[in-house]
Amino acid sequence: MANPWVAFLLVPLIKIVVILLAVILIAAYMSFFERKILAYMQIRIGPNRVGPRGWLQPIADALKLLVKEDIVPARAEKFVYFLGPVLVVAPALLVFSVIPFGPAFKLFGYEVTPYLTDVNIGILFILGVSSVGVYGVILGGWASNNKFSMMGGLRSAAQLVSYEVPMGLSVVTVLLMANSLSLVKIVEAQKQAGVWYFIPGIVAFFIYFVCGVAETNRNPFDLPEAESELVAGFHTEYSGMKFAFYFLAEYANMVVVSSIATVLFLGGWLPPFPNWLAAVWALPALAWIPPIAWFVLKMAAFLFVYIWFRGTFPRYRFDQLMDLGWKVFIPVSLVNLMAVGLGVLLIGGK
Amino acid sequence: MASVLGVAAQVNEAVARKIGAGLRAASQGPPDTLRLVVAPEELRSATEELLRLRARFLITVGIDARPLSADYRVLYLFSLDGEHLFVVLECAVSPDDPHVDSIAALVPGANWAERECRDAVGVTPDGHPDPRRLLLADDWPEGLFPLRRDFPYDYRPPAAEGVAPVPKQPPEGASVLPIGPFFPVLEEPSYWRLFVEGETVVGCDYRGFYNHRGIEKLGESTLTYNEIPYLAERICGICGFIHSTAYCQAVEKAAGIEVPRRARYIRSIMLELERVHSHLLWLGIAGHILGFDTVLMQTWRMREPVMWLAEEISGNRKTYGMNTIGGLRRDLPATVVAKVLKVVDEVERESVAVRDAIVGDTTLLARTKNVGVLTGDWARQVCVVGPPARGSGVPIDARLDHPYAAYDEVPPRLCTQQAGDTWARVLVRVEELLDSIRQVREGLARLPAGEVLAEVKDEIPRDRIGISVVEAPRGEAVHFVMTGGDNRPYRWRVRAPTYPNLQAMPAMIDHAAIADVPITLGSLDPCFSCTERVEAIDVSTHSRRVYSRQELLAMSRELTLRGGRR
Amino acid sequence: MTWFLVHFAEIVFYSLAAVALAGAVGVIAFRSPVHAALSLLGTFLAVAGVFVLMQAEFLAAVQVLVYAGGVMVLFLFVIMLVKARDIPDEPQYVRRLVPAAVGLGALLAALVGVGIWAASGGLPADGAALRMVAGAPLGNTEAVGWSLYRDYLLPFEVVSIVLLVAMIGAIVMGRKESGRGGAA
Repeated sequence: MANPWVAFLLVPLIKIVVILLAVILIAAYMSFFERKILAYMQIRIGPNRVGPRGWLQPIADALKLLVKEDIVPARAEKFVYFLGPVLVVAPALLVFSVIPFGPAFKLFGYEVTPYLTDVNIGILFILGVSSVGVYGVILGGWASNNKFSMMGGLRSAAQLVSYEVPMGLSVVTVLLMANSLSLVKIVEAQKQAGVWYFIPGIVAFFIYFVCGVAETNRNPFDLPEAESELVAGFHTEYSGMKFAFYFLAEYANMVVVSSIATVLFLGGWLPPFPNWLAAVWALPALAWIPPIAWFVLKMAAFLFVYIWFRGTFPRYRFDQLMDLGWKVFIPVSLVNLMAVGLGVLLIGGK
Repeated sequence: MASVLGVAAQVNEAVARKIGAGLRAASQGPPDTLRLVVAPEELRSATEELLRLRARFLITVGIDARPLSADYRVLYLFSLDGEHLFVVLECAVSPDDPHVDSIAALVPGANWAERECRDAVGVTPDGHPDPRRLLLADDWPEGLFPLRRDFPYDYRPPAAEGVAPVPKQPPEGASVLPIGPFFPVLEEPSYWRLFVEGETVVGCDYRGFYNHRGIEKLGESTLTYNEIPYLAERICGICGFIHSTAYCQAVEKAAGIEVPRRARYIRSIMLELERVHSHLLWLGIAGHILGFDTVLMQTWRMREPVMWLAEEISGNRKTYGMNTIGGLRRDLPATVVAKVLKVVDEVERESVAVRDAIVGDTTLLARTKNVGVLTGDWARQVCVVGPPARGSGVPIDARLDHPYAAYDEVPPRLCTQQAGDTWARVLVRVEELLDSIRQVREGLARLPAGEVLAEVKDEIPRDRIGISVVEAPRGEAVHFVMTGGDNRPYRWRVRAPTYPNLQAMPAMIDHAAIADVPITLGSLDPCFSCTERVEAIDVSTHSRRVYSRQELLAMSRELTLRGGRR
Repeated sequence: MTWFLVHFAEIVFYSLAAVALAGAVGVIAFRSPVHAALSLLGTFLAVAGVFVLMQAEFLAAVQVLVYAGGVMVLFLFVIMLVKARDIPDEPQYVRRLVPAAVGLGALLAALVGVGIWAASGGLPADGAALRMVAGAPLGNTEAVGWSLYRDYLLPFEVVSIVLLVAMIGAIVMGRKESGRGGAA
């Protein structure tokens, strides 16, 4: 690592490209799996025309969106209208810079970390950056100069701001237990504790995930895009690539929420119950399973639950959603925070 | 039948007592129809008397009778449900000054009917609370009335210049949220302007009738008695058999034709099969409106075998082409009976599963309980029919009130709920779905042998009237026929169930959240193609913000000239 | 090229500072309130960047989370719900603000002067001193926590109470006089 250029630019650049490509591919194929799994849940077949068993469908969709006409409403606020999709997709992708997909490992004699960076305020960084994403939604809705978009944007903003509070509170319980804001350290703390945080923090875990569903505007909290009321909500007027950005951001955000849940509550890249089953995981037959595989597996489980929700629940009404956030989740997560704090004080953290 | 005659005599007597010499004539056409000719100035008193007898308003029929008696006739159709009797109040209106007193203040449900009568025949209701156009386009020229006899069915008048829609003004401080002209959920043309304060609806305005196809006019001018059933079953995209049955029954009643027992049973069975697939379709749409697409996919999958069954029986999924005056054109093949039983068994098994799933779903309950409440009293006043009425505790069902087909021998169960909310309407429909399956089974078990078509030897006599009601999945469909010469009706009037039901909508969404509007409308199971069948008008949509109507029209013409290239 | 690496921090700082200043000018220069709010957002984000450059990551994150993610969203809410034409055009209101503007300007000038004096050696500007917690070097987060909850506990709690009072006051003032069914 003598050459500073390599350490400073080349390696991060490669990582950025790999992570971005992976995220975009996951997001694209997430839409495919969503349609397939939902189809099977509803006793249908799902997309099966493009490529073998429909596997190239996301590629076709992406191409279609690329070449589609880009419509800008005549009375839209042009610049803000353009800014909306950018503001929503940039934070969604930026967050991946601090998510640890696995522990450091050796490659050709170099130590490689399968994440872009490990900042000591990792989780705050994520919360901060993703809170910027709401601008894309609210501005896009406003700039379209369309009542349905506007209403969708405002609904979404209210929903995001409301659910950020219980979500943050449930994250804090993990911070209390791990005694760190760094995502890598949080995973390592779970290794040391020998227990994943979803066991002591079961309430926080539940609240986090439900809030995550609300934060990503997914069923049953997909009110901002409730088609029967608001056509397509805040992105009603968007088409072509701009629409694709919103689409990408939605799926990327699902991956983000699932990744964070994996890191905070399910021990990140750790194999299940590392302390109790240490002997099992040391078996040569199993030792080849790379930590990243565990991470991806856990994340995929969360993504599956997202789709499962969509196949199972009707949509809430806006006031019901707000009631749930303010009158149930915030008090419960506050009480839970105090309980966990007390527990940490009495039993000791880490 | 004796009791019906007795009741008719009582009604006749009561009206005579009330308006005295205002009652000019009374006659009984078909045994279940009492026809009272009243003086126009006594119309309101006569209506009051009928309402006191708990009569339910059905529809208004305007007839251009100038070739017959040099006047217009306006007929007000009422039903005395418990007594199985129809009462017709008939007014003769002078052609020089065609006016009649409005009864909309007494019967809120007559609001649209009177406006339609004015638009189509040109008899103006005096004192109407909302005298805007209902079914004619805004650019239809003044003084042209398409259902008058001297208006050719294929005439296309030039568009009037400089006209604009007359929207209702929102209350102070409310803003207008347009839903439509193409409703995003039901994918049908209906234009609601919701007046909202925040997310709360404080009022609304409706403009519909964008899709008139001139069906009544065609029936009166170019088609013959036996051709009309094929047109009638195209009134609706779902329940076609209902309309062709209703039409045939109206003619059969007017002409006194006795339909063979077997044909009546088969009609019943087909009608109930139609209810089964229609209610399944509705359940799916309701689920879709609530963002619950799994219900949509499941119920529509369950519905499919019923459609296949219809195809196997009639050759078509939807337009069966089975009905004709006097019975059926096609018998139910004996081979299909076992298959029908198998399919309905399967549908029943799965419907019970769906019912159990949705009844236990708390989110669904939260989205439908106390949503879109229609009180029983208001439901009666706006003359709501079908599941919305029964969901509000109004015990009406055309199959019981005016038994037709084989319902006198295989009666349905009356499924009512008291709450009047969307949930109640869900429950009513699910119950009816299961009851329809029971009726199909019973009907097949008791299916008599014999002919399915009564031969009609004589010409159908002129100037007879027949009223027939059929309980469609959405409610009661009313067909009125006045017979004429040239082997065709002089007047054919259709009232689809959505017509009265839609008029209840403003009260149901008052002070509701916007999010509840689609499911409230959806819970009426509205069918716009049924409702809008009267006139052949092309209306382009209005986007009043940016383009004027003329600009849009010019743009679309330009596009056509360029061969559709942008 | 090594020049680039050596001066990397400075290049980033001046770019961020330029963005922050441009945003600040934009807030008052734009006529459209939404554009003004967006400029302010740009300033907030640039300032967060400056915090990162000064190794105050915690402050940077909180800056984004609170100002960009919370405060500005509420600003936008108000701007979008209250149409621009609803705001009366009152020049005399602006005129009344002139003395306040002069006073605040003087205060700002003094603050900048002190800053320059401190940066040129008047005060220890070593960030490391701020990272010492109980004599041991710890993270930025711990340092902030330490000084807030130990050294300045009383002022911190007083500020909390002031905020609480303000919040209750806002709710009381914002409540509808004759609430229809209570909640709006």
